[in-house]
Amino acid sequence: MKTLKVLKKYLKPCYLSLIFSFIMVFISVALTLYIPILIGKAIDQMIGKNNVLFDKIGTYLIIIAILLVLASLFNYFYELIFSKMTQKIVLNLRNDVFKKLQNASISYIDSHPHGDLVSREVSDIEQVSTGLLEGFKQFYKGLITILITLGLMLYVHYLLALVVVIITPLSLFIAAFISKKTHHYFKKQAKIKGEISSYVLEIIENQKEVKGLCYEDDAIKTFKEYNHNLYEVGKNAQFASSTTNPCTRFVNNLVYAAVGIVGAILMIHKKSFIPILTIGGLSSFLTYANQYTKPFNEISGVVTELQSALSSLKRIEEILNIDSEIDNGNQNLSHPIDKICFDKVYFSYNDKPLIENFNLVVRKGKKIAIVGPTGCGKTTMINLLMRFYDVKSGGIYLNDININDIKKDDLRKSFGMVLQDTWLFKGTIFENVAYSKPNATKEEVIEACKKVHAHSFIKRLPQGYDTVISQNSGLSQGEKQLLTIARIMLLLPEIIILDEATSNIDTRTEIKINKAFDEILNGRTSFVIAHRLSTIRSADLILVMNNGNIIETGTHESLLNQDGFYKKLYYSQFETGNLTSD
Amino acid sequence: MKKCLKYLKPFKKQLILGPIFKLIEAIFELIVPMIMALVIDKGLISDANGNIVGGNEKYILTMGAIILGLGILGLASSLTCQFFASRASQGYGTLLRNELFTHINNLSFQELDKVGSANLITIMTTDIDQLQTAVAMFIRLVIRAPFLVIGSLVMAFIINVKVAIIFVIMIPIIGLILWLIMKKSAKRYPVVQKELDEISKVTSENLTGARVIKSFVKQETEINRFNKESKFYHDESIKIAKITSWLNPLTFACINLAILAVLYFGGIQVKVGSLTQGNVIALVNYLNQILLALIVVSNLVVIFTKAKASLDRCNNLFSLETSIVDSNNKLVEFDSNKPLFEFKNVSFKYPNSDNEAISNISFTIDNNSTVGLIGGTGAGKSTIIQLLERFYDVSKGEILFHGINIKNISINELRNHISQVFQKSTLFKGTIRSNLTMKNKEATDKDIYNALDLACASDFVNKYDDKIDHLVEEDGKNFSGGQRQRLCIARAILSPCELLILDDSTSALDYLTDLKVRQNIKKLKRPLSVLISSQRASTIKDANSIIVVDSGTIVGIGTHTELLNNCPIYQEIYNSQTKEENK
Repeated sequence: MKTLKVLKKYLKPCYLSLIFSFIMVFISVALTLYIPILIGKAIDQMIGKNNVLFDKIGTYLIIIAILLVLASLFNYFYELIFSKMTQKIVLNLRNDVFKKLQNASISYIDSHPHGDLVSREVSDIEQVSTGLLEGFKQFYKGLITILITLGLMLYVHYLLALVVVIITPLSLFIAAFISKKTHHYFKKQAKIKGEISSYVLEIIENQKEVKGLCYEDDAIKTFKEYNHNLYEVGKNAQFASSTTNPCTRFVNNLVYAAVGIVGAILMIHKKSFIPILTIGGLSSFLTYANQYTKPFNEISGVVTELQSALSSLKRIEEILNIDSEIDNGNQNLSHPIDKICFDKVYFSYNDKPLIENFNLVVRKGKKIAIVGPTGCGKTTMINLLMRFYDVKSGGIYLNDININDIKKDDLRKSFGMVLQDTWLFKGTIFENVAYSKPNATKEEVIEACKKVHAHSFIKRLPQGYDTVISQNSGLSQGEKQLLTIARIMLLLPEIIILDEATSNIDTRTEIKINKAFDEILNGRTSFVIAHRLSTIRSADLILVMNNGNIIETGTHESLLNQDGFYKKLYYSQFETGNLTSD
Repeated sequence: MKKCLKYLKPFKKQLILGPIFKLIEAIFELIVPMIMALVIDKGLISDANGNIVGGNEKYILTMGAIILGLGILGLASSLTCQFFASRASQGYGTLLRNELFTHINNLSFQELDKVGSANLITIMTTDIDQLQTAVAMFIRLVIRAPFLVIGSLVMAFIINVKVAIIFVIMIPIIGLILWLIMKKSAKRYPVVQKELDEISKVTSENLTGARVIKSFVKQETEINRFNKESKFYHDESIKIAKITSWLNPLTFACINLAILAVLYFGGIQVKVGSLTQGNVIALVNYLNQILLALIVVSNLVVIFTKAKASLDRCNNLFSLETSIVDSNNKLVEFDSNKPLFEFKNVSFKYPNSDNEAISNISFTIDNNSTVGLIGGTGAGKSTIIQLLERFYDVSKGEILFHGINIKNISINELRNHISQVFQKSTLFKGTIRSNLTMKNKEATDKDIYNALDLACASDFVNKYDDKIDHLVEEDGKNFSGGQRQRLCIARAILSPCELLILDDSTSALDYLTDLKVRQNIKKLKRPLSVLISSQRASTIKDANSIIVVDSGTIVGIGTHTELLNNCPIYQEIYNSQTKEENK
């Protein structure tokens, strides 16, 4: 129930709709329930052959017709207002979740599977919308129906009402009993279903491996085992849950029979303490007995939906509760940035030190290259510099201001990054390039693209700069990378970062891209990470990293002369045979 | 149509008996209002003013007992039906899942590519679930709901033919309302679904691009973009709500209008003496029952419409037959003097493409040789490898294994001679051991450790307390890219094969490890040919022969030195990677 608190915040702005819809449903239900009384009264006017009071019946019929129309209209407005409110809440919830994700720290995004986050944003909110809000709509209507019916029954005949009141809770007991019994089946079923889906995913997505390893028969065998487990649990879960309806229906019949029989007997035995019951009255009572129990069934039917909606809400709440990126920066960054300084920087992730005691001073206009084997901490440095992650101890300074004191937006605006994985969104080429500078004119964009040698291939596309592209569009890896470089070209920030920017590109294309890099790096402070060493020869300073430490520094020539790790690394890409054995 | 439905056969008994039991319950349910009418008309005695003056208590109690008895019988038969339904539907789903999974695994990539893995997964999960539900609903409701409608109608006719006309008029009107509302909203559901897809696309696009977005400080723009999408979704949903909100009020109004008519015309009939008060009550009850049943029917229509779409998808998948026909020829005599593999004028076109991915390719892989395959992305390297493994069949030409066309060798036999490491290194959920022994189930611990050594993987594996029994999570996500690749190399080395294919498979390794792995493979003391496909010239430089591919054709075959002399594209590739060195 604690989870529901989240909803309270979203319900608050809708209180007017809430009150309105409650009034609507109250009137609608009250009218709906009053109609059977009138029907009963009308029936009472049909005593027998040649004894039917038509003028009275006519009056009742007219009243019923009017109430009928009103009840239907109020019911319609209730449903509509409630749905509108639900959608409004869904809209706000979704936007808030997205905003949270947008402002979450990179470490949160890196450490959570994206598929899971997306499913919270999409399917969990759907579940809340259908299960919780729509469920609440039914629940509320049901509750009001029960209360009003109870009141009317007591009003018509308190003794007969007592019969109904005593028997119906049985239906709730049964429903609760069954749902308790089935709960663990469903939990188990959900678990096995999850296992099956991920197994199917694994085998289908990796069919090449499966076929290459001649593993099909083993995979089928494993799948059949999973599937058999699902059958064993599923058949029980399904049967147990499907007993709810027949059982509650049975209780309904019980109520129906009891009302009829007890009513009839009461009519025979006239006692002073027994209110008078007419046949029409009995008829409306029978209708009530049906109506009174129906919401109980509906409510018990809603319970399973509600349970999964609550767990969805919990998953959404987890996102709403994540901390946004902290930005305590209040100092202005002075431009130009003349000096970048890493001072005793230490960083660890999951208690694994990735950078230890890292010191470096970079002056304006220098090209710094970082090399080293996979996982040595190269990218971590960039993450720290951009404040995607924060240092654990030590500090990074721009113009002697600690980057923790600079507004994150200002800090990040000073950098331009080209990453290994190109990121393009669904939109035109123009929009993608102008992403860095929203008010850029067409001329500026074309100019930038020309400078990075992207113009020629864009021109050849069917709609030129207006061609709509997306992450998986037909552009080659190299072309996509050129677009992201054009983005940087358009903005020309003070400091450029190239993080394995050409790793996914074949070497002949790389030459073209390197030409584009020359354009944006020209005279700018830059950090270049690469594992193809040929691209970093011209750097002013090369840092050789291994296991989180800088083990060698110097220019290409001086490092080769040192005859150390760099030299080994460098020559390994040309040699094939006789590496001096270690 | 037949494929999926034929798996219903084992459940014939449940499919017939289930609805019959449900029918029994429904019959009982229909009788109850009739008995109640008897209680009122025969159990009670009223005077001329409609006042009750007495009654037959024994009669009333007997009738009460009958209603109770019918209720218990109804419950029993309904539970029996639910039991059959759960067994049959779950069983059907299980059977279908097994059959489809087997079917998928037996298809070749020629067919799998056409369907796409996302679709396959939806079919295996959502679609089969949908069909399973449909079977359960068929048994549980398909007889009951329409029967209640028709039964109520028949009962009305039995009571009074003239009043029953009202029923005949009302049922189609309510049916029409249900149909119209469903049809109108059903048209809008795909639009909403599409919007929901958009929302999930934008979200995942943003998660992938988080670094870029933050570096350009574009969070606000992205939030606005998202808010626009979710507003679209909101608006579309409300359009649907405006339609569906009519469902309850309209049906309620219709049924009650019918009740009004029953009261009026019923009153006339009572006056004439052809109808009793109890009859009128029963008629009102039947009308209410019809309303409930019709709503169930409309839900059924939704379920079966969805199931029909699922059924079509499943059937389409079943109707695909593997185009790569396995040879049953188990006893093929290989001539081990002939080259291991030989491509003769091979051309190939992917199923969905108009252009040939490779054209007229001829080369040989000799026994105990190392062959390099080099070219840019999209040059056709991977295609050549996939043809070699018979993931696809060649469009033209032939591929020979020890002199025999690979189409004449059983697929498993062929693939058992080959071991490969793909560019994308895939580990399966399980343990390091279960992953490494996927192809060679007889491998001993010693073999495994040896393979790990050769793949430069033993250093990190030995760090785990449970060594090779260390758990591998889904997609091997508890290993780094380089570690995954080394484990895949170990898996490939472990299987006894004649050809080891390294398909760009050391790209996640740094140059040093890459080199060491290649040296280790050369040290293997068994007859083995290696096919290395790479973009790095250094990786294949000392191969016995190097094949240079460009745009799907071979532009040069020879040793490194030969190619440097006579193949301009090779020169270009080599120079691009060692430019400074040659200056």
